[in-house]
Amino acid sequence: MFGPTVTTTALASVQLMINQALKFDPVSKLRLQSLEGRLVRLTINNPAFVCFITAIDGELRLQSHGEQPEAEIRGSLSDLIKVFIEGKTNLADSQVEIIGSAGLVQQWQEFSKDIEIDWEEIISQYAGDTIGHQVAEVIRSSHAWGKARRENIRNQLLEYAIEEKQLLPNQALFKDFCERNQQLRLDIDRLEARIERLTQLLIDDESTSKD
Amino acid sequence: MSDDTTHFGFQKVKTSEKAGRVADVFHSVAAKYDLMNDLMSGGIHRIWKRYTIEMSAARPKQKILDIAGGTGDLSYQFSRIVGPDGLVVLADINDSMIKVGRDRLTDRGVAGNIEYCQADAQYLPFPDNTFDCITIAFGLRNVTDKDMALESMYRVLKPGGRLLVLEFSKPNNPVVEKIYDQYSFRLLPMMGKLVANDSESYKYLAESIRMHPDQETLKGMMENAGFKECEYHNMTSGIVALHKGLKI
Ligand SMILES: C[S@@+](CC[C@H](N)C(=O)[O-])C[C@H]1O[C@@H](n2cnc3c(N)ncnc32)[C@H](O)[C@@H]1O
Repeated sequence: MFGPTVTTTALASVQLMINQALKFDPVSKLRLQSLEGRLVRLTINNPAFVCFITAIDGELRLQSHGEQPEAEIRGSLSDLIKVFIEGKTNLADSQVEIIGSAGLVQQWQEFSKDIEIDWEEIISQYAGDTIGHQVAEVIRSSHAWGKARRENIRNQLLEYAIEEKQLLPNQALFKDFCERNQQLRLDIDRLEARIERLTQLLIDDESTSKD
Repeated sequence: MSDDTTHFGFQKVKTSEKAGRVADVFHSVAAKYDLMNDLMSGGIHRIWKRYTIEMSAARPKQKILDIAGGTGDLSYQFSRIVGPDGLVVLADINDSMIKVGRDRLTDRGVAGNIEYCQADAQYLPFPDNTFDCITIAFGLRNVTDKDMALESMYRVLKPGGRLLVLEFSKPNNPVVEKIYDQYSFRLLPMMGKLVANDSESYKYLAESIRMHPDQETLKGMMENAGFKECEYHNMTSGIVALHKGLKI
């Protein structure tokens, strides 16, 4: 029902997490420089999802819309994870299909497999529980995530989100907002009724005192 | 509508007065505009603007005009995309709005590829075929003669360039429409009173949203002004819509 708003919000928050992680990762950040302005289309077959990836002004961008990408990457989520996150499988040996500039895709692969990000959390948050769980299993078996580091990123993120006045409304916040909205509406109704009553009283008062 | 009056919210005022009254509204709101904006749309306006940036497909070295640019949210993002060899022009009719925008952008480190210009959307002071992309976000509804403004934008756009209009529109879901009505007509002015101590301005805002042409009407107006391949994308159940048109 919300159209592009939801996709854009989800991509914006994943982008925020990745960019936060990059702050602690100077090597990856440097790699990102050579990717500046170069657009790649990512098509996930299963579950079906399309997004665009690029770098702007030293930050990673995930977009729901893009035009004239230099390359396209197509594959199932699990194949893409094998190639781009675990770095286990070679592009050539994988089911992942590349259209356009293979060199550019190679560069993105170098970048993505080295950044240390809690993909597990990100994916389970956005791809739903079942898929999230499967993905988490795959990743858990191949990566030992540093707990301390994860905590650190999470704390940083939290701080950032608070600083930026809750940059991204999540579902709970939105629900809360609607509920409070509703409450406020009721309050206004009540207030209006009271003002009306008081006004009426005043008018009555005046007319009786005049009499 | 007769020749010499126009809508100011739900009131009719002399056409010659409208620009001045709109300016008053934004003068009184300028300083607290960002805060209000965040409260009013629960931060979701950032997402709407983000989608607008994506649909612009802006690239390094381009020239971009952000009309009714206000406090510069879009200009900031554009300035990062077009880079040192590009140019962003933030134009607004209201000098206190421009001042707030300029201060904010300077604080955020934007300089070198941005210019500020006090201008009326109806009479854009730029040569023909100047910009690769023009945006007007939450601004068109304030313009007295929208057709004239669209023609003026068409003129200064380069062939191959695009116009993006981000604006409140007509919700396409009756439940949302009802909630939204309540929200904008009663809550907005009340919050305006609390935060900016100015409920009149926000009453105008709510009313002007209602008077703004709906999706199809605006699309038709863009086509009349010469734009081709016009289309629109509803966001958040049509509370806002992003219109896009090309100059070919
Ligand atoms: C609601 S603000 C939007 C600011 C910004 N684009 C944003 O989305 O945050 C509307 C702006 O339109 C400007 N404005 C109103 N009428 C205008 C006109 N005829 N020409 C140019 N700007 C105008 C106001 O001064 C104000 O800054």
